[in-house]
Amino acid sequence: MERAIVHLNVADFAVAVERVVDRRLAGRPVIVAPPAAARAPVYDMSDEAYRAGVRKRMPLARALRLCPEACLRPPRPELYQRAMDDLLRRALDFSPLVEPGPADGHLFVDLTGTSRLLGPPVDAAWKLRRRARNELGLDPIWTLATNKLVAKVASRLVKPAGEYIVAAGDEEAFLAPLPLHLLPGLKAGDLERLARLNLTRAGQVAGLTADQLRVAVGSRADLIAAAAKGLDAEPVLPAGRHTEKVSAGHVFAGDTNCPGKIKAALLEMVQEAGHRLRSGKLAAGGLTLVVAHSDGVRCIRRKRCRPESANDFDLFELACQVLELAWTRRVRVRSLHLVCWKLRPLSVTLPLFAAERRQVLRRRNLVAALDRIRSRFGSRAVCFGRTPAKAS
Amino acid sequence: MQNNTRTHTVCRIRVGTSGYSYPEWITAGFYPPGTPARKMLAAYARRFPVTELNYTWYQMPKEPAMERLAERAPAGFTFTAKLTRSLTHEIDPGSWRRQAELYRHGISPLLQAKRLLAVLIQLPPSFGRTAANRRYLASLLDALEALPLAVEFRHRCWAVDRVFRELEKRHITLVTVDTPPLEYLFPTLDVVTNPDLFYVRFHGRNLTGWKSGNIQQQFDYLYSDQQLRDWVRGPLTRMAAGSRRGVVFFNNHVRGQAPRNAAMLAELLEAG
Amino acid sequence: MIPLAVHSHHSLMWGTASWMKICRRARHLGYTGLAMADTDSLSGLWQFLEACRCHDLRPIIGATLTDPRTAGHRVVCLAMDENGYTNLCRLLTRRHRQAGFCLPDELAAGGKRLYLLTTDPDLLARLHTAGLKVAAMTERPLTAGHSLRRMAAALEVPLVAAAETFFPEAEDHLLHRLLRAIDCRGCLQRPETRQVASSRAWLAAPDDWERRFAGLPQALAASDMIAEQISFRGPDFGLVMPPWNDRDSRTAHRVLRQAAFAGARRRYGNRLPPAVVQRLQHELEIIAGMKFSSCFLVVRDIVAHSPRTCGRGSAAASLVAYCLGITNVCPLRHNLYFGRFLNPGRKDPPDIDVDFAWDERDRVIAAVLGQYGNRAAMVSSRIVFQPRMAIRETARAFGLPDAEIGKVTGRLPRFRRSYFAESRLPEALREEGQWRGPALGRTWDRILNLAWRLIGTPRHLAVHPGGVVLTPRAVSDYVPVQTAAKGVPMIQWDKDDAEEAGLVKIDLLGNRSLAVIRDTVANLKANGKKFAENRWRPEEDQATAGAIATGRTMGCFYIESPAMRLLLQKAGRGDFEHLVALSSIIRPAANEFVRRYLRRLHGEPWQPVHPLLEKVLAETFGVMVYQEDVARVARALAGFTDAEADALRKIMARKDRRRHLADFRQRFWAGARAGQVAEDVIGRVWEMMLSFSGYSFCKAHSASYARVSFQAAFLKVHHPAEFMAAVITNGGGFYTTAAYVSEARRMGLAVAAPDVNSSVAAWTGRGMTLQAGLATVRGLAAETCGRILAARQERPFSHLEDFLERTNPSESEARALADAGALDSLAPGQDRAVIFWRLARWLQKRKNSSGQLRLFGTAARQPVRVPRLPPDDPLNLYRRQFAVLGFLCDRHPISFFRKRLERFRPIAACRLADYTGRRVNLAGWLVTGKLVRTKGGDPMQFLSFEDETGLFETVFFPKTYARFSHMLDCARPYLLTGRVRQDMKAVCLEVERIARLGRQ
Repeated sequence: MERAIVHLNVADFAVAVERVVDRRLAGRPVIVAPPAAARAPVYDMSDEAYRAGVRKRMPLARALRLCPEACLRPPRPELYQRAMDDLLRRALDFSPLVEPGPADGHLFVDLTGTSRLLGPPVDAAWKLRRRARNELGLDPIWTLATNKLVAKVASRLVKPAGEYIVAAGDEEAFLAPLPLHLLPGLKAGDLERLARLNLTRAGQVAGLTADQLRVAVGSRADLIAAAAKGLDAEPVLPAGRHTEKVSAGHVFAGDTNCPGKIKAALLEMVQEAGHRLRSGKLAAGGLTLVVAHSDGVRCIRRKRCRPESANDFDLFELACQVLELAWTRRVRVRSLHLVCWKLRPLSVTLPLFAAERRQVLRRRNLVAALDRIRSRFGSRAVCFGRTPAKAS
Repeated sequence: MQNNTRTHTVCRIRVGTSGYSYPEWITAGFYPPGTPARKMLAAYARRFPVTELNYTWYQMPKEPAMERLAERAPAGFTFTAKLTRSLTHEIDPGSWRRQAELYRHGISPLLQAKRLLAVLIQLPPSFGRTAANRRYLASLLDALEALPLAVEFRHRCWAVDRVFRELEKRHITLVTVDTPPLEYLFPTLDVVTNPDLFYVRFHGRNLTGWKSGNIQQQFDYLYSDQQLRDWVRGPLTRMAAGSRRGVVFFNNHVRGQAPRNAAMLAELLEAG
Repeated sequence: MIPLAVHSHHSLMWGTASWMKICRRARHLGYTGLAMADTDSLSGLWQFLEACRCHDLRPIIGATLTDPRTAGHRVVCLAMDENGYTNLCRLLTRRHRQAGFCLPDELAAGGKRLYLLTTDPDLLARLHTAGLKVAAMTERPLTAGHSLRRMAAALEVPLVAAAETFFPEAEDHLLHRLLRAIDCRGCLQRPETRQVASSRAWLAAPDDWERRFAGLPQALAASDMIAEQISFRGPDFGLVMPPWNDRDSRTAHRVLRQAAFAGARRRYGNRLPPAVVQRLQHELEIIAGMKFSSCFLVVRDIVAHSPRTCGRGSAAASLVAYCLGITNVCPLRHNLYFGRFLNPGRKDPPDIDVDFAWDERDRVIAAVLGQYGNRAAMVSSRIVFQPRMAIRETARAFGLPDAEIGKVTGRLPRFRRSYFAESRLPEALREEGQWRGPALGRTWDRILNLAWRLIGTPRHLAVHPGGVVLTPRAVSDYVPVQTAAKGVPMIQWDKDDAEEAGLVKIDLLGNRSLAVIRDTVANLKANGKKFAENRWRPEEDQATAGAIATGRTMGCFYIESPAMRLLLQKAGRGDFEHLVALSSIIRPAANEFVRRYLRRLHGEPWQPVHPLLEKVLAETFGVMVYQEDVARVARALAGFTDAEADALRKIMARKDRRRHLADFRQRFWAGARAGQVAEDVIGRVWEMMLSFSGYSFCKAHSASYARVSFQAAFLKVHHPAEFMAAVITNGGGFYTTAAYVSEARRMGLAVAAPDVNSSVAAWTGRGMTLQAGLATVRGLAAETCGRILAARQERPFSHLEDFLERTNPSESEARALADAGALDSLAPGQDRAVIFWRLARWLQKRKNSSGQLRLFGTAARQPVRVPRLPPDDPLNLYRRQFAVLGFLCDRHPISFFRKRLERFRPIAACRLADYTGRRVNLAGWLVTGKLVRTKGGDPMQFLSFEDETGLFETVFFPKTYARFSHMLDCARPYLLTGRVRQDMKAVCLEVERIARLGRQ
């Protein structure tokens, strides 16, 4: 059965969401970045700012130099996640097969076989986009093709706005004149090799035999040939309904080396993760900590949690040990990411020995009390003495 | 109308459907089982001499795609193409001229290949005959002057002589419609404003479906043999008399009803 | 109370302050003396002694000796007398050079005449048992029951109040922590406590100590008591000459005399002119009187190692040196002044400097070290934190990523340390004008302020590239010797320290131009041309003189810089005598005198400043040109003795000794006044003398160099291809390879891309063609290059696959060769894309045949057919060639910008002179530049640009410089607008505006 895949892509998602919230931002250059420190990285920017030279992950100070008139907004990942969920919900009205990107405004929707119910896929796609616009205030690019690859390339072509329908059977012809770098999956090394053979467009590559392409790019030939011809059998993977992991992250407003700040952020993350674990009646069997440095290097260390726990005290102790392992470089830390894995149902058994049991009980009661306060007064209502009032 | 005196020896009427690429037409039996989308046009062309491209309403036509379409279509096969929604349904006052320009450009390969009979400007029911809309329409028709045009109104307020005279002056076809009997809809009229081409669109007469807003219910209707005979004897004959060419499209695509009705009508015309 | 264990920044990466700063502080605190105790080092000895002299402190010399195996064992060793000092030098040498050095054992064996202080009771006992002078050291009053106090009492040795201090003031602890963080590659905010001195390790005031030790006053008294017992105030070696051993036990003087006369006969023929004999006698007498004969002989032996050398420096004024073959310019003929080199009043050892071809020098040094064993060692040089390094390391300790640091340091101008003398670094940078653009923020302000305090702190000792000391006894009897990174023995003193100590230093330096001349001649001979070197007189060649007089000297030794070429053009003279003068007069501070000299050269009438100077400066139109002119004028005008005059000359040559200069100024004025010289004349002469502060040459040195310059210029004029090939091959000239390639094209040479079938590793020249060498291809390993040449020896490569098969290059190497164009001859008529295709096909085959061992049998599959590939885009080929070579062979990269430039109607660089006085637009590729300061201290810049037609010089006056300096970087094209100025035939563009041209 020929597939009908829609790619929905809200360009500059964070900005688009901010613009929904604040209409005044429409038509003006916008930069989303933590405002506290000049070295903070740009999280997202509007097309106007992009054209002024601003790029993601660029230091904010530089971005503001390039685009001084930009409106600045702090990133609100939870807001973007919510908008993403809204978008996802609408897409699910059209098909159960919806694959969302990580809160970045990207969605694939598989409309194969829906036409009896919804009419031609192109009409469904247009209606989905119309709903996003009318109901969410977002104006996604939408493209329609027989697979994800072609749909994605098509949306790269029309950025920042518009639509593109690649008729079935038209894939190869559609790709042929396009520069190779638009094809997803091709790496810089592939492009370099092909460029030395004066092969710069998809059609030129599609014209080679399998043997010839193998000479040019070795074992990557099959992948590249498929991409150049617009062949892609990848299914649309529906969004997972239940999480296998509980995680929390913290991006420092300015990169830091200050042990106090880092410990404070870690504690806050542990509390967030702990709370999520407990509300899911789960306990973590291990922790992974990702320490990302200013220069992009990431150090990842993990440790088992024995016995598994959902208690902030236990988790923080363990998290500090993992931090010791992961934080060894002198370059400043940009962000932390904590993942709790090996999740098990929270057990209620207590240690055998009285002294231990007392401690476990004490910790458990304290945490339970904290959870109660937070659930009534908000997550920042109480915090440990170690966390500064405003982390960062 | 004024040319009634000049008789045409032959008015060639082409019958087809609005769009041809419907996967559900396979289950409906119009296309053989397993027909991939890229082979549908060829299969369709074996049955009908013309189709109305409706994906140009969803997306701006692009030159290379149109070039390929013109090359792929069998000899003698012709098209009409819908004008893009950004010029009819989602008009942005700031950019529509640019859009019109893009359209002219994008559709040009079909025109050059002499396969384009008309560009269909389908205006939504919400497009009433206000001063602003009249001004817009006039400018739009100016902007698209180089193309053969056909205008389909949905709101009945446009059914006035001044409008027809203006179209006539501009050599633009007024589209004749068959729709459910709804108060506000444009009536079925056999007015010919352009002797080069008359243009009929059968939308089906599913009253409840039309109100539902769901495309699958809106266009779920099968015309009876009698209904079509009435058309052939009445309006179609009258319009043919005043025109050199005519096209008739069935838009009741649900469950393959459009090709069925199209085939029926073609038969009637041939017989008639 | 005397602090007995003070560390300076010579305790590398631990101590924060210089001795001068510490001594100033100690004096201020009221101390009367202090003991140096740098860790395992006497590197700071001479600075310590100087600082103590300045601040009238009593110096005690010592070091903290550590045990390499146990970090805890540290003993402060103070030299009690000369013997103690020698023992300390030996111990330190063993500490650095002896594997398995065990502190207690070594001290027990060789610690006589040292006062040893330790905080370890067991070590105290052990050393006391060995019969050594020991004391227990403590920084706080110990309770009666403390083990150290009990042990001291039991042994009846003093318990002394003393602590190792690493920084002069309490707040310097931050700087100390920074040093530690840099040293341990840690970050400032997370110090490893074990690796850092306690925050109390600063130089406390005497009353602090008294307060602390109120309960144990005898410990304070003990420090004075120990100081009393130490009589040593620093070593005094006198002049330390190289060892002389003659098999026939003749005296050095006799041998020298014989050798000098023998050499003279070789130079002047058997009948020696009386002037020669007279001068030889005179020189030999002085040399003998100063016991300097052995030194000459040693250098003669070293020079004999190498066929092409150039004796430089003041030694070139010696006829003896000329006769021994150490130098190559006749001092009589060129009127070179011997007194500058050696005179009876001279107390410090004169240097003898010899240049070798740069690639031969290491071999020569190795031979010398081998011959003299432990009596020879290299001089060290102290690598101190330069602004750039200080900023980078500080920023790293703050945890900034290298990319960001690079962005900041990349914008730093080339600093001279003097910029930092007074202002704080951030201000200094702002003033530089390079910080237009973004402000740096608080973190960077902190970094820059801290880094500024780091500048000048020694980081480590590196080996001086050519300085060798030779001593009659083992070098380690005079100074601690350690092992340099490349394995050679190296003393802990730098060249100034060695001179201060009286060690004679022989400088064996590398010189690229000697190799250029050598290679040119070899290339000529390989091309079958005859070249008789012994009859070669380039100074007498008219064409060579013409080239020099017009500044066409790019590539020629010493006279190729833009400033020098402009000067040559202005002077318009190309004879030897003038070249000697011109290459001396071009000094940073002498602009005004250069102009005076040039005007007089071109016929402006002049009067000597004073009749007394008429003769002295007659040769140079009354302008002081050579370094020795300072001494000669001082003698003539102010009645200085030879020794005084020489001292003055030396002070001028170094900038950091203003204090002494003031003395000499007074004496000069007084002496001149006594000779009835008018005040304004004295003033003018003194000002002229001051222009020599910093960098200047003596005539002998200039003459030696001028001869090499002439040789180079001669070869450039007569054998351009061979010469330019050698210049590029030897690298390290004033310009980049790209600039030399442009010059070669301008000289009418064809530049052939490297070619695996015709290039060797080096560049070669033949006729009017310059053949690029394979080594010029970036990324081609030397071994692969060797394989290519070896395989070609067997037979030439017949086609691409043959080449690949027989040389087996890596993929990136093959690619680089192809990009360079080096494979084109293996696939005649084929596109580069096809070459890359065939390369890829071969690589695939190689991979398959080496990987899984032919799983499907050995059946050689039909090679995959070459597909029809799109044609090459010439621009891409050029871009890749430029990336891999750094230049383009057959055209100048700026030619790609011509189209874009059309609307600006730029003129051609070679026609610049035709537009004198007018405003023009010009396209220019930035070649090189030099930052200078105006009299007012504003920075301005002289930059050289080139286009396809020529090289041209520009000046950016301060305003323009301030506006545009941030966008200037090398090897890229610009559009320049400015006015053309001409000055004595030298043309220069006074830039008003400059804009970058985009990437290719």
